[in-house]
Amino acid sequence: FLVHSSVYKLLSASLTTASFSLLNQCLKAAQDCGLYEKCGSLRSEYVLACTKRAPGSHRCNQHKCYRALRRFLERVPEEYSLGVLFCPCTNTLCGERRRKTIVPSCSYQDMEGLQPNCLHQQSFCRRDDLCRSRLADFLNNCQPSHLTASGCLKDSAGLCLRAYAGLIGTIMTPNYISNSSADVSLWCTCEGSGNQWQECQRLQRLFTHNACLQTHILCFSGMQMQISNRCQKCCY
Amino acid sequence: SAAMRSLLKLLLILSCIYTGDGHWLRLLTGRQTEDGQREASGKQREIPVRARLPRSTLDSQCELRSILLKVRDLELGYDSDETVLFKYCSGTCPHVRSNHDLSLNNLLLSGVIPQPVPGGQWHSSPCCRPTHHEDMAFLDNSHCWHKVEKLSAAGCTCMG
Repeated sequence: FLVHSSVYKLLSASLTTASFSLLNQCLKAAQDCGLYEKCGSLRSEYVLACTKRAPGSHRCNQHKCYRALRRFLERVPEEYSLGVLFCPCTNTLCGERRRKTIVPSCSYQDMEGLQPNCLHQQSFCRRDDLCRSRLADFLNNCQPSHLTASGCLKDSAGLCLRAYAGLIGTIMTPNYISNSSADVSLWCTCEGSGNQWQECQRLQRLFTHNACLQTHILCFSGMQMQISNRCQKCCY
Repeated sequence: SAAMRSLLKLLLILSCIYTGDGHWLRLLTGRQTEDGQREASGKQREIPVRARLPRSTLDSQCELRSILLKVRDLELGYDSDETVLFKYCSGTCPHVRSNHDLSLNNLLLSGVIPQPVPGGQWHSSPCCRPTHHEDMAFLDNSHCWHKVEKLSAAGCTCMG
């Protein structure tokens, strides 16, 4: 609680002093990360792991990239790691930087552009102990609800964002889908779902149409000023 | 006179403490404040530069130092506004001249060994150099990731 309220205060302070149109908030988050030695070095480590070509192929080593991403998120204090992931953007330059943060060419997209079926991806995830627990955390803490003021079933005080970040570096890594919005999605499709089409859609929409998740993402970055009472209610 | 002798011994010991141990105390407290500063500046957001200028002979020992820079200030040709904590080795090394160093110096002075060509350097004492390096990665202003191998020093030693 205390950690997150201080983080929010820090971010709102930095947002009020910075002029939005001139300063790229995601660049500032990257610079803040660079200031803190541990953040800078672990960030370099995952970028190196995710950009290095695997021997004998033009692709990256996705396994190593995932592992380095998880290390970054686990070892760096949240004010820096989540700051870099959820920095607020008002222009496409900032948005593009934000989208590229996790080196999506390795950790998110497939080189050939092929998307697996979402339910297949989920079943692969469930077979892995780590991914299974991370997915369960996400489903638990980011469950949307129409009944609550925050849009979340649980007033989880920042656990939703942490749970979402916990999926990064697993088989079900989500990411921003464009540089002009904060919309996120899994890299998967519902084609070939057959009878399970609705279940597949439900899973996809947990990322693309999740009011709870969106609120948390925007609250963290301080963007949702107009529904600030919703932010207050949800966590900070 | 026995009392005088023990008093003299006491004075001698005290003077040693003043010059010798005082040296140690300053070294210790100097280290602590450096670490304290390092801790604090690690978590602060305002500190622009962490280069340490030598204030006394103690601070100019061969050590790993760091400076916060913009990537473009490295003048490697990258167009990026990101910042990097550039670490380097600097400081003096204890000058213990071996017989080799003494002889080399004598032969240079007497002209038996030709003077070094311009550009070539003869080091007659150990120098402060990195033991190993660290790679670094950043996003440039065109949103491409770059990696610079062996950019920063990761540890220092007196070589040679």
